[in-house]
Amino acid sequence: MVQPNIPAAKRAGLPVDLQRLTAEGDDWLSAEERYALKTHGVCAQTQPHVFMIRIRTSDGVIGSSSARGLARIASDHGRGWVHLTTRQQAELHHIAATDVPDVLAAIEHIGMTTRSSCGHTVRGVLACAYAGAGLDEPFDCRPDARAVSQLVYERGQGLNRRLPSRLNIGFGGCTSCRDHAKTNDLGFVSVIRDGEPGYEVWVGGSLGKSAPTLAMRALPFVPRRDVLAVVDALLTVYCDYGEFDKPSRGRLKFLIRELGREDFLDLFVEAIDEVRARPWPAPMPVRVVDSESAAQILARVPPGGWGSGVRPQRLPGLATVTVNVPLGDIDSDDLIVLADLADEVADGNLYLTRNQNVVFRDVALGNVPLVRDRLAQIGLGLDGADQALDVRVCTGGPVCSLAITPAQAAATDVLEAKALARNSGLRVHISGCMNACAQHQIGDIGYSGGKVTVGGRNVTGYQVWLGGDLSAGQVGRIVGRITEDDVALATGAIIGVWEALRMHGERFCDTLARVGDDAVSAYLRAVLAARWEPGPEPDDAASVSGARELVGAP
Amino acid sequence: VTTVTGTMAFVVAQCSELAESGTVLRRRAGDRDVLLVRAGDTIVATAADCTHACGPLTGPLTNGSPQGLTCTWHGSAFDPRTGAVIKGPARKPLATFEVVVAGDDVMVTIPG
Repeated sequence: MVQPNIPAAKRAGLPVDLQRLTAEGDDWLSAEERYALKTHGVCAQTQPHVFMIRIRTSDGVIGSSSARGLARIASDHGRGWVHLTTRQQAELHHIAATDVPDVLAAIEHIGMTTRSSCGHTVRGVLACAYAGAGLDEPFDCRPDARAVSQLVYERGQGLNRRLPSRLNIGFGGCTSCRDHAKTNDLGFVSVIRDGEPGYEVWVGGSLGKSAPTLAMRALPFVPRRDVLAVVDALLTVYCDYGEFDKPSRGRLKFLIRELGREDFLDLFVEAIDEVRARPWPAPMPVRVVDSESAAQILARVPPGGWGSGVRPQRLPGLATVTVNVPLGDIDSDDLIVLADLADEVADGNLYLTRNQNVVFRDVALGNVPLVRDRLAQIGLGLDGADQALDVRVCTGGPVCSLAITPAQAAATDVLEAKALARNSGLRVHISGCMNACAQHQIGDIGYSGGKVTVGGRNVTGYQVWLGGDLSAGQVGRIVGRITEDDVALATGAIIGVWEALRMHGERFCDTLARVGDDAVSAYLRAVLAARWEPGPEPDDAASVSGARELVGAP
Repeated sequence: VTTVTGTMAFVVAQCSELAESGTVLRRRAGDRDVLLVRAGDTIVATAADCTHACGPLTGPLTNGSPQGLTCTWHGSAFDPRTGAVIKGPARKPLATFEVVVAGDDVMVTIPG
């Protein structure tokens, strides 16, 4: 496939005649027009003449009526398949080129959009799926996430023509979301200072295919009223100084490295000061969490007890339940069942999570068994959500045009690994290529698909990333390589080695740090023999080494 | 195309094409792709694509005893006689269709 000249496409204004697709299909599209399509959320598949369409959510929320509409569109045009991503977005596949304009219109008609969901855009803003309901957050960050989403969305293609690369924004409230916010170019971590709700601001994080990096803390506190100014200022600095003409070096992390931490921060703060006084919309009121009520809340236990799939809410007598959606894949019939459940027992919304699941909120404790029963009828459930067997995985090959390996086949095989079943706290992430849609760098065990050398043969396989743990402030390292058939075998061996080496209570990343990557790799070589190749693929070593020092420690 | 009460019947193959047990044919029946499978003495018909990500299914069968129709993309497997899932990642069974043999014609009936 011809590679597009992305800077030229952006300078030309990202022109593409969407309506022409209806009449003529997609054969006429130039590489630059195909890139422009991505900014409308329309991306190539491996299969000819069909596309993946990504639906943007502002904060991971889909209302039940929109969910039913989405299910209808998937059924009519996308062969009934909906994939939930690790960035709280939803994807349709197999959309015929001639159907693209109609599908885009239908998505707008149900109150959703695909605009700025792919390519060099500000992607859908992440927000904690438990925000406003969970016990372990300072306050509800969702209203601010929604305001930011609205701000960047309104700037549309005008902004997309100027961005050097994509920009991810994430808001974190609960413990795990706070850590995850640091994987974004711009992360907001909610805090209370002197009784005032606001955010730590983190910048420069990104996983991506090269130099996976966690963000650095740029500002210790900004009040909520300044959030939009912070976003505006960052966009200004990024567009003014970012590497527009070299997309592969366009991410914010590269700009920060080039300018240096201090000079970047000077520019950033100066830009904030310039725009702070503008008449930004006032933030929506939020209630600060009263932590003293936790004991009272937990005293009432739902049938079946609390667990990863049934979590307490701030209001006593209510639960937040998480539907475990295997591999993030759901069909249109099941999506309608979830939408109906959202109306019947929850607050009428489906909250998409970073673990590719669906959350219902405001479920009365007495209704939890009903939810379980209804889900069981369609082969879904609440058990195991967000745990080891809830493997995070991208669409992978042969559907995604970028993927090298069929990640979903590997994920299915991994589910058979008994070692995984007895270590529910582990996290396995599998991407079909280096582009990190499954965020393989932040799993205890991560796999990125590609051409790798194993036993002297160049084969389709995976590089194995170990030790990623956001709670420890670490991204994983490539410790070895395997063929695509050995993912389950390697997973069992890796966990077995960890079980043999770990000290009491040690996290996976702690054992790895204590023993050392090379020693762990040597153990795995002893177990797997020629089926384990130590270290990263030589061609990729430079792009992943030293990544964690890119912007310095927080 | 033959109209049957509530269904559409389509002649999609000749028996001679399915003489050997284990044969799998992909054919078009109206607006759907179907698989015809010779399993032992019988011919069965199923949807042609996986219920997971719509990957194309293929045989082979062994001695008429189905090892399953397998998705060439992600390895899901289905029993062609019932459509039941044998192996994931697919969770939903395959649609199966009634097969009528009339002379040498193999007809598949699709719900209207």
